[in-house]
Amino acid sequence: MMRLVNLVLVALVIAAATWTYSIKHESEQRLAEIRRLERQIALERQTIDLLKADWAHLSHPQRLQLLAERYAADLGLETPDANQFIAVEELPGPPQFDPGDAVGDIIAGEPSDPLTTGSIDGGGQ
Amino acid sequence: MPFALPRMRFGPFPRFGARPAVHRGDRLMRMGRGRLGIAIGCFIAVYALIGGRLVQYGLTDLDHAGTYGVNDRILAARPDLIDRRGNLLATDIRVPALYGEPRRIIDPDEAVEALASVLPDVDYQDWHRKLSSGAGFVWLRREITPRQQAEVMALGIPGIGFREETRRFYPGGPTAAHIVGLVNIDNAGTAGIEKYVDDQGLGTLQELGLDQSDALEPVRLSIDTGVQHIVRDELVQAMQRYQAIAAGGVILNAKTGEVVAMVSLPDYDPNNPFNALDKDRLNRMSAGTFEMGSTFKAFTTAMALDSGLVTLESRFDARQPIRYGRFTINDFHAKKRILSVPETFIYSSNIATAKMAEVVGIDGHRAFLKRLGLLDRMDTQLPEVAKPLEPAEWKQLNSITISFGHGVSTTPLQTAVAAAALVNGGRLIPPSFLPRTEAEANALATQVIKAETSAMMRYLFRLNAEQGSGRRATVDGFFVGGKTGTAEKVINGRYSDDHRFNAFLAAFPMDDPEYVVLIIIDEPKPEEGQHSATAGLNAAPTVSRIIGRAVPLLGVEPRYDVTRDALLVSY
Repeated sequence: MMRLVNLVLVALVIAAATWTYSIKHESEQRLAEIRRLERQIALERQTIDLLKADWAHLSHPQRLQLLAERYAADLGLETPDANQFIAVEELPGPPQFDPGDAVGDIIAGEPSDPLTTGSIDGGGQ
Repeated sequence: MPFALPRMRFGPFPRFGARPAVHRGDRLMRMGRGRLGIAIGCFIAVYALIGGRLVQYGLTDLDHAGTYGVNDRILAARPDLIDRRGNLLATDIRVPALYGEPRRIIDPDEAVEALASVLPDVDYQDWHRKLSSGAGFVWLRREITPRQQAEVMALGIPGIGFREETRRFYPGGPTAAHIVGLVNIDNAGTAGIEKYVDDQGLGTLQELGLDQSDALEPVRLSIDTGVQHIVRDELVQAMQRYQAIAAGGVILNAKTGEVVAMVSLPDYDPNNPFNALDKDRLNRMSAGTFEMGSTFKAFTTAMALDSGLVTLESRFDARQPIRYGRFTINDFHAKKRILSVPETFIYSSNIATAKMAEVVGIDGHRAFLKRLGLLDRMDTQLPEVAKPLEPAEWKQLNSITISFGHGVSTTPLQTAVAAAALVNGGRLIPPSFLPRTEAEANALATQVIKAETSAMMRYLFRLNAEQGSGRRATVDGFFVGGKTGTAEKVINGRYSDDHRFNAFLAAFPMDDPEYVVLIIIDEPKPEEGQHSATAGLNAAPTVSRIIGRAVPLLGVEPRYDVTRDALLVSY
């Protein structure tokens, strides 16, 4: 009886030692993995910072203007005039008729009341 | 999950009296039992302790990851600076720095020779002294290029290595140089908003070593990179076109006091600031003082109207020059007649303006300019702010000349801020380089003139842009109003005819101004085919071009239904 208990206990001790060691080993591996990932994250962060700086430099108006001026002739680029920006409601829309309006159907396609916009030279009547 | 413990038949400590029958060596056994019990108890206690601690560690979170990262003290991180739309204005990038470990260097001569073969301008003596000093560690050069790093690596000199350190990079180069500011080689802010950020307590963070770059929130400014670029681009062109020695401009949100763009030329490249401290490259808009000339007539007129002693119908005699002692005050475009207030404003009459100031009196005049903040050092986030200059004692003659902008030197930025108060209903809002809402601005604002006076000023500004000296500043659909200023500069103690300081002060749309624009051009020459160089001929068209290009970015829509007469209807 005692011998059996002893055997079981010895087996338990060995098992516990093995288990402890394997846990220790695994935790070391995980720690190494964590460090590797952290290094990688730091590198990625730096790269992101660098790319952001690069993007800010490449998309800066100063540079875009230089490029636009250089290729203006080839691409037919021009500086927009402040008057070329108008509100949506200033655009003449399609004529509105009640459905079934005979007269409306006849002249459909012809603006009944052209909207006047002051933004276009000679626009409106 | 509940589970039942198996009932133990006998525990390690059987109850007294329930012992098994005594065999041989029973005393021994009894002693053994007792010791065994103590041993077992000790082991259980120790392992329980270890187990308990393990559980405790398992339950507590690890400290943040920084415990593992190498926290390098050289990497003094700073927050990114971004504009109002989130575009990057300044950021940290990593650059390698070269160091040596003299104790590991075998032959200093050879090392220096080899390094000099790939690095420019090596100081032989200095490096030789450093590398043979026997110290553990010496810096050789900071901020070397990645390419140079690769070349030094290829040399394979033992005892020479690299460490990464942080460097400040400004993607926009000189575009917003004067606002963003500068850092020194240790990454401490020395100018502009960079310095402001440090003064707000970043410096202490760095000393404590708590500056993890990703932990620092970016600092958002009120600047709009697109508008900033437009202002700078137009001013660069204007400087060339009129062969001026300097120029500057500011766009101010009239309702919040936010500075949307501010440029001072000549400027410098903050990525290579070798000339940033030249006297000529200071920030003229906030750190330079000038006699602002005729733009000051707007303040004199507002003062006279606000006092109630002068109305738009009042008339002033401008037939004779004012003689004061040995001085004579003349008009540039003399009309030689009696002028109403609007005529005085659009013909920019010195004589009539001086008489307007006379109505208010010397003390009232000074108090008014003080109320508009034109005589005191402005309080803003930028560290580079100059103190205005005024006469030690205001006499009648001072009041006369100051009424048309000579005799007081103030900064252009202050002038723009005070002008915003003239047109926005009379509320003086301190300028800001950080974003600010209208509600915050209203809490800071002080009422400096009556709302009715402000409405009259808007009418006068618009009238001047339609019929007066500001005709070239208009942009169709945006209802621009403004006032020119052509000041003579003091050269060798005398006002000179051909050294001018020109300014144009504008606001738009004039019925409810959203933005104030102020442009200065220093010593312009007449353009080809023009015989003079007044502000109406150079500063005004520059303002027109800037407004025309910037409105889409500023979000102001063109309107064609407003007329000047509507400006006065409500009063």
